[in-house]
Amino acid sequence: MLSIKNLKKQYGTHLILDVTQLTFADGLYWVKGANGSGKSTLLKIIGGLIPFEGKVSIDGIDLRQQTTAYRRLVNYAEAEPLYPPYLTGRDLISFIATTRQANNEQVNELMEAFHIGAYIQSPIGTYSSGMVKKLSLVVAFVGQPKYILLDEPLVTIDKESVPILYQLVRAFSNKGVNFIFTSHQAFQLDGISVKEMEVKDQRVWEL
Amino acid sequence: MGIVVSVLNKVLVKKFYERNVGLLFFVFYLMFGVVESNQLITYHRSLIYGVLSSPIFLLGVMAVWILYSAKYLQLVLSELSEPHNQFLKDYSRLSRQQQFGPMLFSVFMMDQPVLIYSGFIVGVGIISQQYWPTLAVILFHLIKIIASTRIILHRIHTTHERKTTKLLQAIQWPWKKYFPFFYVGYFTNHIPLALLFTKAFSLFAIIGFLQITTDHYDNRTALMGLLFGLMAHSVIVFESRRLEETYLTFARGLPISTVKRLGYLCLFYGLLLLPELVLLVINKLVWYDVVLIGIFAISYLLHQHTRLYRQPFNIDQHTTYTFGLFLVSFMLVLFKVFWLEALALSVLGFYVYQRDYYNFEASA
Repeated sequence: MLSIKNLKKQYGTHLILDVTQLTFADGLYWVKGANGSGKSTLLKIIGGLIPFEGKVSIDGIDLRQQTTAYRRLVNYAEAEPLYPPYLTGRDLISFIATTRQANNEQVNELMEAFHIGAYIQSPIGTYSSGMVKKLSLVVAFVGQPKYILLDEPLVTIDKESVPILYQLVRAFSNKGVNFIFTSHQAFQLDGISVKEMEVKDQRVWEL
Repeated sequence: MGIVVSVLNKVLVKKFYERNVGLLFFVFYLMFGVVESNQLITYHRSLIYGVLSSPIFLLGVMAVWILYSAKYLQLVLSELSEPHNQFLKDYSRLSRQQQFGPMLFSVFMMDQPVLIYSGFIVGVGIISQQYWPTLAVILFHLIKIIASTRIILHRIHTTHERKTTKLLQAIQWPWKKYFPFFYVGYFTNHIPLALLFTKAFSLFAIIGFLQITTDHYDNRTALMGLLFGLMAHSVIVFESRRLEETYLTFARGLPISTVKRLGYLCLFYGLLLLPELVLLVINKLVWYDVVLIGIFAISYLLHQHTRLYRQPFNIDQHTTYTFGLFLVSFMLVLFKVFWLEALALSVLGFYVYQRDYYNFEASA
């Protein structure tokens, strides 16, 4: 279970998030909110990418105290991913797979699923934004995470890739992986319940 | 053409001075503030005589001028590739002559601090009838300004921005997926000119200082040269941090311990300093001095790097601090206690990294 306590995040004097207590039990969560409400900030905090005040933990493993152990449990895909343009997609995936101790078979399956094999040996700088987005989605599924955080996963990717993403979410969800995603579009995951939340007025509300 | 000059001044010249105001004030203070006012003219006349009478000194000064040019070239080239400056591509629609004049003027304006002082050197050279070195100074600046203008125009004309640096880009690192090489790759592929200039200046400084003859073995000459080289590396340190805050933000979420991350950084700086260490070995420094100097150099850069997790991400502050650190280190080297500094900087670097790596947020 993902637990957040006394979370505060502000930029200068502008308070973005002020959450006293929030828990994400196992399952899929769709976090909604207006532009600038703090959805991405919330995901970045859970992903351990930005500093914050408060406590975030998964099954008692604290993000601050057991930082490496915590990071083994969470994969995160940014809304607008940015990777070193001189690396090839293969370099990046290999590096990340090594850090997450993922096997080649899984990596190859994921690359095949998103059809990125054709350009995986080219430098990322030559990719279109959609190709980078697909790469980031592949990266998000690599390893054995407990939570996968997807920030606006449906933005930029072509319509052929959307059902592939749904299929992967369904398959990983069946294996017990939990998802938190932000999106302005509804996720169409037939047969799987998605809990909805909204970030509004610096707080996170269950809908 | 007035409007063209005006726009170039706003986009390039003004930006250059805004970014470097701290550094320029610091250098101005070093040149004119540390000498008593009644000795100022005598001091600078002696300095200029020294430059004109010693070819090695003159070459050293020219190297510093090249470094200065590299600084404004780096800024201009990176500004030209910014999305908000893409309108400058329209500049290539002007005729060649129309393009050259305004851009030459912009380069001339950015070069002013160096050119003004060079004017005094030329004046003193003519009065003291040292015509050859004076001519060399004039020719050097002419070539430098024209070459800089041509480099900028070339960038504006080409859509493929890294045509001039094919050699470095062609280096295919065999272990690219190994984390320290992410940093190396950034410099060889993204900003190779900065890397080339830094390494050239650094090696040149060490070679220059090793020419100083002493009657007994003294590692301080090499260390002094290295300190100048390390100062030049501050650009590399800043760019490494910029890399982390742009393309490597994803790495923050990976399950890698901070100790391991710090190890990667040490390895990167070790690789970066390899040419300097090889140069010291070639110049017959004893092995334990080379090892100690290597540790000192890595800890020096590491300290600068980790410091940028605490301070606002600002090149002016970074440069000012770099000069301060250089002065302190220079004194410590003179008093033969550089090993103490190496120890202190290593401990401080480790402590700051452990504490602040995850607490830093560039956009905050």
